[in-house]
Amino acid sequence: MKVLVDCLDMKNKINTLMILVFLGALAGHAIGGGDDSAPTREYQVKAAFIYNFIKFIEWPGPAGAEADQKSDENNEPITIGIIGENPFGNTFETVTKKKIKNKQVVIKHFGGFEKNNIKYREDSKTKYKYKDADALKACQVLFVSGSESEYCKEIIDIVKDSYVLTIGENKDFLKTGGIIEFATEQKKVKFAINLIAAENAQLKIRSKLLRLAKKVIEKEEDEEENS
Amino acid sequence: MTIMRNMTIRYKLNLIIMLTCILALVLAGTALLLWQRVTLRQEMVSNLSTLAQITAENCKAAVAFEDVEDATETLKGLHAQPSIIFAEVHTKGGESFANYTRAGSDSDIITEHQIAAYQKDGYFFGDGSLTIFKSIVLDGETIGMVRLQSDLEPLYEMLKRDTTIIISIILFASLVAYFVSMMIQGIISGPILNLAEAAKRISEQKDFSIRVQKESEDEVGLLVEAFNEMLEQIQHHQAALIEANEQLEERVRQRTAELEETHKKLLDASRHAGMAEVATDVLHNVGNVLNSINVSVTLIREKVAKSEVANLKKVVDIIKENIDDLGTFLTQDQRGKHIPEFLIEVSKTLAEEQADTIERFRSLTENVEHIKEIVKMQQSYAKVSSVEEPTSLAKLVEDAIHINSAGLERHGVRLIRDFADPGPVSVDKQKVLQILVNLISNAKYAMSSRNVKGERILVVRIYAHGPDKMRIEVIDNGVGIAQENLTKIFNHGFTTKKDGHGFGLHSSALAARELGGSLSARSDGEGKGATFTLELPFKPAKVLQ
Repeated sequence: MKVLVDCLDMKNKINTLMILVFLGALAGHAIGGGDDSAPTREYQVKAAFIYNFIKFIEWPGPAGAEADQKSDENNEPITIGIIGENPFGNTFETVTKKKIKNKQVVIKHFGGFEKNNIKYREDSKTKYKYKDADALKACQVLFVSGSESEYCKEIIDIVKDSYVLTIGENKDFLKTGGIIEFATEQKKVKFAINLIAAENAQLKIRSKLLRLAKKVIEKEEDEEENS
Repeated sequence: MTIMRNMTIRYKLNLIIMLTCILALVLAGTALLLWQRVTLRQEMVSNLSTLAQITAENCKAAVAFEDVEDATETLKGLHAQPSIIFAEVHTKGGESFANYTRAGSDSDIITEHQIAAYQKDGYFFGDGSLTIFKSIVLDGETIGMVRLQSDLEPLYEMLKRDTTIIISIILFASLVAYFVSMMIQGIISGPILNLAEAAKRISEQKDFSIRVQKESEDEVGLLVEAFNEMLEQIQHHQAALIEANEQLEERVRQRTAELEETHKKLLDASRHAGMAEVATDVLHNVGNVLNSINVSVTLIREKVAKSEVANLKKVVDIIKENIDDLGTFLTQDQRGKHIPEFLIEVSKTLAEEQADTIERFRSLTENVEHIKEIVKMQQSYAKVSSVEEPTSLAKLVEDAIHINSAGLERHGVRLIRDFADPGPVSVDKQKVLQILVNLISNAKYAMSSRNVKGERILVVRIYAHGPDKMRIEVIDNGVGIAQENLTKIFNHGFTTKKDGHGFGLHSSALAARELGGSLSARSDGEGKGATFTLELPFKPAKVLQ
């Protein structure tokens, strides 16, 4: 589609865009398969939040650094992974046209944790390994869908050392080691941040974002809680 | 400006200096204030812009995450800046996201064109307020706008403060300028005032010896120099004038004395001339008489020359020859016979001649007697001068006529006397006679012309005019006086006579005035005769002779 867009001249861009959006919608609908419902306002907001989170968080290494505008070709894209059911519908597809920190945004969908585990034995124990674990680790952002609430810990464990911003919507997402947890209060989307997990993932979260967080789990707090 | 015209130069200078200073200061102050206003505005825009920028930065996350509470909280922080009336965060779509209104302020109502301005960064000064727009940019993307509206109180405060300072400076500087100008205006006004003072003193005291001290080499110095020079000249001229004045007075005195002398001489001369006139008349008459004497003498001599005495001598000689025989001769001789007859004839002729000669001698004697009389009269008048003595006017008139009698007779003038003699009067005989002789002589002369036809009549009248005046009128029917000459005839030097010197009537008029009377003339014109009237004060003689 991108190629197509590039081929078109500016005059027809808008028309084409509309057609593409329409086609995209159809495609999303087709790809989404099981999730027929269109994204709710809540998920539109969450999608936007996820986008904005990226802007307030710094990743270590070249991925984190803001790209040089002139050499955007060489920049690695920012990958947003969505594991489990996709509640966003095609929301992200329309948003990915925008660059973040002058980088392309790529959306990757990963299948449910349960279904995509590979059983293997190791040390005479049956172990499961997520088949796209490497791909998960390569993501900068991983949204753990509500459908994966049972496997949050497992999923987080996979990516916890791989500079991945984990975002979930389960109640105890932070406790399981997630970094950002969405919560809806009075129909408003709020979020909480686990700063310890973020530090573990070597992610730097801007204070502005922290300030907005409904709740921030910090070391001291942790210690206090522990004590 | 008219007020200024009446001020002293000192105040004028002060005023000029002060006006200039204050004007310059006010201009500078105003310029400074205007510049300050511009600067303050810019500063304010800059400050508010920074504030907006900070606010935008602080609201960035809140907008990104739609956190109204946080944005509101952030905006609330603006209350630390009391000049902020209103602050608002807008979403990209232009909806109000969060706002802040200063306590006590009305919530802002934004106008259409202000909304239009919302789309980009900028600012504008509204009425009494400054509004700033600042976009909230997240990752290169504008996600909203911050609008801050501040009142201009700080600006006004600053301007007020600056104005106060500048006015203070102006006042202080003016005060200093005033004292300085008071001190230095003397440089210019001092010499001028000195000059004015000196001029005033000079005009009051009329003292031109005052000099002004020259204090500088500028125009005022030149003025002082010129002034002093002028004074020098005035002083000089004044001295010359005073001297000239004194000399003039002396000269006037001298001239007056000379004039008096001349006048006296003139008076004497005229008196003498008057007397000479009388003398001339006298001599004239004397001459006339002498003429008839001469005629008489000639006639006598001729008579004597033709006398029969010569024939008598011849007869005597014949008788002598014949003396021896005289009888015979007388009877016998032819010639002898005629002798007695001849002798009878001769004696007869001689007797006639004697009678004639006696007659002529008698006339001669009479004439000589007349001359004697005239000379005696003249002597009697000439002797006394300005002495009033009792006399009769009629007698004086008769004397005057008598002096002129020869001339009057010669011209066949008929005299008519019309005397109403008031009796003896006290009068200066000599002067009156002089006047009368002159008048009669003039009348005679006026009638002597051949133009006068008919009988020449001279009327002399004496009458009293009023209780205290008497008049003597000499009226002739001669050539008369032309109207234009009536007033001139009394002038000195005026005469119509070929050999006259114009003294007669002039001195007569003078004499009449000296007598306390007057002499006037009137005539109906040329050829119509003239009347001269001598009016004298009537002073009856006190002592009867």
